[in-house]
Amino acid sequence: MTLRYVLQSLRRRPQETFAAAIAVALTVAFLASLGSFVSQTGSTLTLRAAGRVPVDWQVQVTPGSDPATAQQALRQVPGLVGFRPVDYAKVAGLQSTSAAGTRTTGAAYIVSLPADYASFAPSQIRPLVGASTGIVLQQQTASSLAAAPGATVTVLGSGRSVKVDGVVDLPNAGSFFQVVGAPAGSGANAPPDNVVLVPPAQFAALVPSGNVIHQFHVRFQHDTLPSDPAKAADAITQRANHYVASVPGGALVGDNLNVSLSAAREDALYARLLVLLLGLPGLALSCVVTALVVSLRNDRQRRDLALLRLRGVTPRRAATLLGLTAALDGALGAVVGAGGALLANKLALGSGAQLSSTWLVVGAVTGIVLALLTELAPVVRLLRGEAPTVSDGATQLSGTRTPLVLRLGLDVALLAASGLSFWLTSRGGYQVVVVPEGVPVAAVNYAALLAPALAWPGMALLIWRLTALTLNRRGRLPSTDANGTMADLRRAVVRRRRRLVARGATGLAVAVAVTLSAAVFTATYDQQARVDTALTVGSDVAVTVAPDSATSLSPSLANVAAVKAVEQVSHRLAYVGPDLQDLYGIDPATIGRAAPLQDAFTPGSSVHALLAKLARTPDGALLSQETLHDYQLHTGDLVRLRLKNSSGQYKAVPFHVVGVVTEFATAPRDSFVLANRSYLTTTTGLSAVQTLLVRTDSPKQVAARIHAPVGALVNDITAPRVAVPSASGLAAGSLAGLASLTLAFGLLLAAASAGLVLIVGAAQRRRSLVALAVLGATTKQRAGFLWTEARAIVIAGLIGGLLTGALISSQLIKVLNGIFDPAPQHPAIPWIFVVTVLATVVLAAAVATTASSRWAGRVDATRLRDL
Amino acid sequence: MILRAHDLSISFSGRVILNNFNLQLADGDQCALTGRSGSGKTTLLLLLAGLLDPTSGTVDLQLTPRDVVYVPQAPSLVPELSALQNASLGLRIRGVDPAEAQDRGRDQLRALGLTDADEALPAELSGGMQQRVALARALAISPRLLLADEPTGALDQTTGSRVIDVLQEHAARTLATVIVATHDPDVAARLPRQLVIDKELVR
Repeated sequence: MTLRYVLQSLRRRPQETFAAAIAVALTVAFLASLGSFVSQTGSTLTLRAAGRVPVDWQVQVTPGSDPATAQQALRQVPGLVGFRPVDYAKVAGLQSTSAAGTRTTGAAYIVSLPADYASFAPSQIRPLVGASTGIVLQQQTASSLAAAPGATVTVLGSGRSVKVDGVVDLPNAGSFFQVVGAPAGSGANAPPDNVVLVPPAQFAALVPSGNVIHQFHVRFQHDTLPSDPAKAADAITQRANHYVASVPGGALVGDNLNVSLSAAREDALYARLLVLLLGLPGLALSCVVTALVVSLRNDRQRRDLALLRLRGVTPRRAATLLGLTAALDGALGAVVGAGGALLANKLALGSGAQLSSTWLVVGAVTGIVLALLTELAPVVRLLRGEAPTVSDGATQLSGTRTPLVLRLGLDVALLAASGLSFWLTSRGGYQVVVVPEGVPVAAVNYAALLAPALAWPGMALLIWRLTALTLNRRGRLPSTDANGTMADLRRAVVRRRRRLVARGATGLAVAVAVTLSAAVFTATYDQQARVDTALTVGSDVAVTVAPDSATSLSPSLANVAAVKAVEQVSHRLAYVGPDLQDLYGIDPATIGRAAPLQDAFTPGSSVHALLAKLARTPDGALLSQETLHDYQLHTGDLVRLRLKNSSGQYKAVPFHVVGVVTEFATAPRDSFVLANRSYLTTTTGLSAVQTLLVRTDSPKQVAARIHAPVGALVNDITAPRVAVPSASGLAAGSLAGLASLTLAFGLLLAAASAGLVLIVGAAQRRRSLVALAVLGATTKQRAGFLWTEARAIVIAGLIGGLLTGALISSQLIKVLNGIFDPAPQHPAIPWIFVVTVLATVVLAAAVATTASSRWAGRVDATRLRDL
Repeated sequence: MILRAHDLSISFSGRVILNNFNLQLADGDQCALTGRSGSGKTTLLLLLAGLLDPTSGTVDLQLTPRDVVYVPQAPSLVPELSALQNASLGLRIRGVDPAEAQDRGRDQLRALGLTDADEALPAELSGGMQQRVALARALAISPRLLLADEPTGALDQTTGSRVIDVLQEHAARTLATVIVATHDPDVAARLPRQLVIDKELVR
């Protein structure tokens, strides 16, 4: 009997069953997708961080130890994929002789690489000209020696000559030539300017035997690492410690993998924060929408319960029957939701994304519990006798009294607390995630999240308050109403239902805000990623030769179609004290035409004001924060930098510090100098231009059209190899996945909120609408009552949603500032998406109102007899 | 003759409710419609009001739909509107000026003994008071045909009697035709014409 009742109950009301199942499915799908995303983010970040490392370890044999022992012990390390011996030694210099004369470099490194090294560690060597094996010169070395494949180079010291087979770039020279065993946090070592790669067979003859550094470059399996970056970093550290202990004093480990994984810890924490700030509000909203839809059955259930009781069914048994019906609703929703989760997972996170079975179960259980709670709560009230008759339940009118939380002023209190928290966080420089370099500890300042966490409920309650307040105005009796529009009566109805309308508008506003804040955050991230890429490339297109190169790039090179602006930059190397830094000679008045500039690059001043100041100060220089700090320099101080002059000698040139700069096109992040190009020309006698920055809307085409001289590189912003592994590194893919989930579900929820709230409202007013029909009201007149309510909900919901979205997204962008690189000057607003959301809401409301006014206003025998 | 029902039949889900009924109503007729519970009184009123379509047969009505008002057994007021707003609702639907509609609604409320309930919401009124508001709403329209389903069902005898007085005065004044479905023999007895649904006949 029980099963028959449940099945018949579902079969008799297929629309209600369908709506409830779809609503439950929404929450199941969102929860399962979000949970799967969270569980995958860690492993994705781990694999991505590990994948960025050119070689996992650089094991360096300590002087006097036997390389064979270190090699033997290496074979025992778990997870080993392979290793290659790499030896190198420093020599006095290199020399080449050509028609242009003899050129000699300073100290150089001769590096012995096995023939298959390029395939073992593909990202270490980028072929440029000629062969990539044999005798190969690093790009800058080739430029200094003016040597091309076929040229002869003499190694000073051994006096032996070799014939050059090719020229390559060493993209990871910094880590390749790292000081293995240097304490963590001691800073990167500048890579050598002069490098020659040679086969092992020729190595011994070219270098003195005494000072050879023996290394093994090691690679491990990455897919067996723990999925959490922090745990993976710990595991790899323990592996290194074990290895070092197995060769006591015989070797040191340069643990590149650990460094990269440690950096990913920050990403993992930010990913977790994003889920908290972007995902959870959406999930909470999804639960509310589900509850709202499932509650459509409440009225019917009250009647069913009354009938069951009349027929002598005990309260317990009645509750069991209705509970089983609710559970079946939930189970149907869970099945549909599982399919939805699979689809959402594939669409939002890519075809490789796996749906977590654990999260699928959690989602299904949540859906069923939600259905049970929503459907049984009113029944429980009836069983307790709080609404003793069906009639009481059906004719209850919602209260108009302001909810207690609003009478207590909780909205104002929450927003004030949010503002205070935001102010305190901003005073601390928005340091939400602190991951000290080299320290296996990461800290999250969860207190900083209080601002958005409090702003959400604060704004929701404020929208509720303002909507109810606005709707509470009494209208005047119109003098005439010949068309029977009854505008005053419609307003009176909405005024009386203001609590319900305010609740609906608040739900809609939160849905819109969840979607918009996620969209603005994502758009801002993308905007900054583009700026980051432009900074790395230099501009939309950049033509570069090595710094201090005698080759000068003429701006006429970029005299091709679609170019909007060209800027010349003298890229020089200058000694600041003992440090060799990049110095960029620019034309401050015009550099903004081609270089990406943001106020965030010049702390304490706008970038244009600072460049104007540089233009007014011929001997002015903008220094990095690090340089100012290290050398205790201040604005106005005189600083002498040593630059090469026309005779190739270093000469001290005086500059006055005019400000601080943190980023510049093509410049390294740590330290560099910006100065007036004309001043460099005057003081050094060198006017060569090493970089051309080209502004265009067609970077790929312009890059292809530029015929650069030999040795020059042409980069454009669209080239895949310049895609920047974002420094904050929040894996763009991870954010994209979360954003896709939130945006897709947010859009659905916004549409569902608008539509379902109105459908629920229409269902509640069905009796009134039939009564109006009996009195002779036309379909249009009856629908008018629903349209007035729809207008109130949509207008209040959209205004509230826009304001809340703007507030939350601006808070998120400030609080999660560390994710952006560089920090955004202003949020990016995806207008098309915003308009799409607004249009979707309006459309959903219009469709729901039209459909529900037809459905709820229908006059048939059953409804007439229900009156 | 304002209404002629000819061979009127209706059935729901195969169950015959009314079968081949015939009825003629003239201006100013005041009828009591009686019969057992479930005999089809409400269905007949809905058919005459044009709110239900018969399975077979015809209802020939010489009035416009807006001249006909059906007052359901349950008050079915708009819960968000005050008693006065409810009482004037039928007039407002018909495009009567709001002030005039209120005046006419108020007059009917007074006539039915509701003197200080203008601003009260339906939920604040007793069942009987709600029923009188619903009746006031119908009377304010001055319909040519008023079909009232158990209008005194929720009222005490005195008030019920007063309601019937008001209905009869109204009918006499406006020459409206009134049919009152009732189980109360006293109420039925006060109306000049008796319609009894007995099996398949209307007498």
